[in-house]
Amino acid sequence: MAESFEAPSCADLEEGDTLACNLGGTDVMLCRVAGVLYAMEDLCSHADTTLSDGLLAGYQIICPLHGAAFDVRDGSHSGPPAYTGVRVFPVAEDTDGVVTVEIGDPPAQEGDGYRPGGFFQTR
Amino acid sequence: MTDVADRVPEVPVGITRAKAPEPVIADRSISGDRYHSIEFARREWEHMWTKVWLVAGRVDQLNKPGDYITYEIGTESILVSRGADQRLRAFYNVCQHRGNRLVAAERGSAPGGMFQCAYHGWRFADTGELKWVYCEEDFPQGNPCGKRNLVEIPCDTWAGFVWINMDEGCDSLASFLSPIAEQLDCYEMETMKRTHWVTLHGEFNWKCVQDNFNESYHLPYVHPQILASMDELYSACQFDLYETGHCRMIMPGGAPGPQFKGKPERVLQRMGNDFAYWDFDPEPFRDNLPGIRVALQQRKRELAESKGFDFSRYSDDQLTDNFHYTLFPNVSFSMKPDGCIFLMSRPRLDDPSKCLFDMWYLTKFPAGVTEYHANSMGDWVSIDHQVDHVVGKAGEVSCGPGIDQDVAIWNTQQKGLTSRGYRGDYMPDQERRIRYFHQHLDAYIERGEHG
Repeated sequence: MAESFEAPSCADLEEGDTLACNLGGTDVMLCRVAGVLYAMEDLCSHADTTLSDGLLAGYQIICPLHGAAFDVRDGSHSGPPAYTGVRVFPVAEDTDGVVTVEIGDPPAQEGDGYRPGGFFQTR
Repeated sequence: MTDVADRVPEVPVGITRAKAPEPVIADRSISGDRYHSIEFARREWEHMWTKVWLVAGRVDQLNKPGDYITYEIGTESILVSRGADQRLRAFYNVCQHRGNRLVAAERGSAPGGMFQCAYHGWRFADTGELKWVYCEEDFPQGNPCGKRNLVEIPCDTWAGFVWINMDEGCDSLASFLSPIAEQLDCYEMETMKRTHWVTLHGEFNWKCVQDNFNESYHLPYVHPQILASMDELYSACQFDLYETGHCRMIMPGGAPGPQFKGKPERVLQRMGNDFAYWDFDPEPFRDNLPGIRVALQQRKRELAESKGFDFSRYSDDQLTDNFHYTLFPNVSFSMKPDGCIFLMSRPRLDDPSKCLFDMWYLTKFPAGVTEYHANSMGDWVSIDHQVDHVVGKAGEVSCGPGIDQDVAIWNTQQKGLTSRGYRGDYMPDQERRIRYFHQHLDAYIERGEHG
């Protein structure tokens, strides 16, 4: 079930910059590329860290920790070390500068990424 | 006057953390051709593989007289059987009549303790002795029975593993395993049961496997999930390189290290199984995640007996940390309080760009428990179920959480190692176990070729 949240103003958000916020418990990164505002979950799919601290190069946000890169338009990854993408959210900015982000339910997690247990864990 | 108690030496509990002296490691480049050259593979085979102790199976596959296993290594097949005298013996799996492979199955029980060749019916006892041949009167050179016996090679056991050596003049297994065996004896691996048995036909050289398990530099990239439950940075770890060519890594576990940048919830999620099993409340540690490690150790001590575990031979570190051993040439033991991940690679002499990669999980079942969740495999296992041998290609069969990530990398690494553009390694000091492994391999080859 998607829910709309009002995000902080992006009036001063310049091209190449990012803005981090928490909307209803979800960490969100906002950025502007070629004049268009984008919203993406502020969490690298490879190893937990905030993408908003990374480098925005064109449409690619590059994780500061291990270099995973994601397209802010659709959340897709550019390859290893990431093997899964990052959630992106519909975002709108009205003429008064009010920014609205629509956040749906997180997808069910699968794969080894964060499944409990695993080779490196003890009992 | 000294109290008697003061004079009783303290019995060491658990594995010693004594740091091995750092060996001299030559600055010799590890070139790509070592991973695909048929000529180099032949030298490895001739001078190393045929001179070292190798794991052929588990002792509990050979419970009764007549029980046997076969072990494929390089161009050889080794037959190990339990004789009527209860002794384990290893033989080249070849009929001494005209060279047919004697036993085709990888495990079984020989009817009447006799192995019969499929070609002309020669029968060998489980002691290796040739007992019966068809038309025995028709041999002008004399009846071969009792003369043309199976060719026996050294065989021994340790920790529930069957070890063989193709070098008749080899050192003892105990000498070969030093000092690893004495460190690992506290795990009583002979009491563990193999609950996972996977063999991959890998499209990579066997050394990609051993190299990989000889370094932890790749962990944050290939296994990012570990950051929530262990401190992978080399400066937090201890690396020991022993004279026998074997190595050890001790890596703190049971809590994230400073490289973890996520939220406490991720740690709780990642280690949730552990916390639930040990009835451990991590909430007080939200602002002190590294503090979980010692608290969890204490909790495991408190509850071990009630859970059916005997942790009395383990140090506290062994309850949370990663004690990872790489044995020359082709084995890794990654120890857990309740089990062991056993990893092994075997060469393909016909195509050195390929190998066989074996992953076994050995489970130490708590007392009275027959169904158990092996946390390290993320899987339920049963003490009553005879494990199936899963064989397949990489990507088609799974080696469990974590290892599959390694396998994917070896596939692409092999491609790069064959490139004309690869100029040899350029490694950080924390990967020195790899260089030491290759140095040890070269020493075998040089001894073999130059004495």
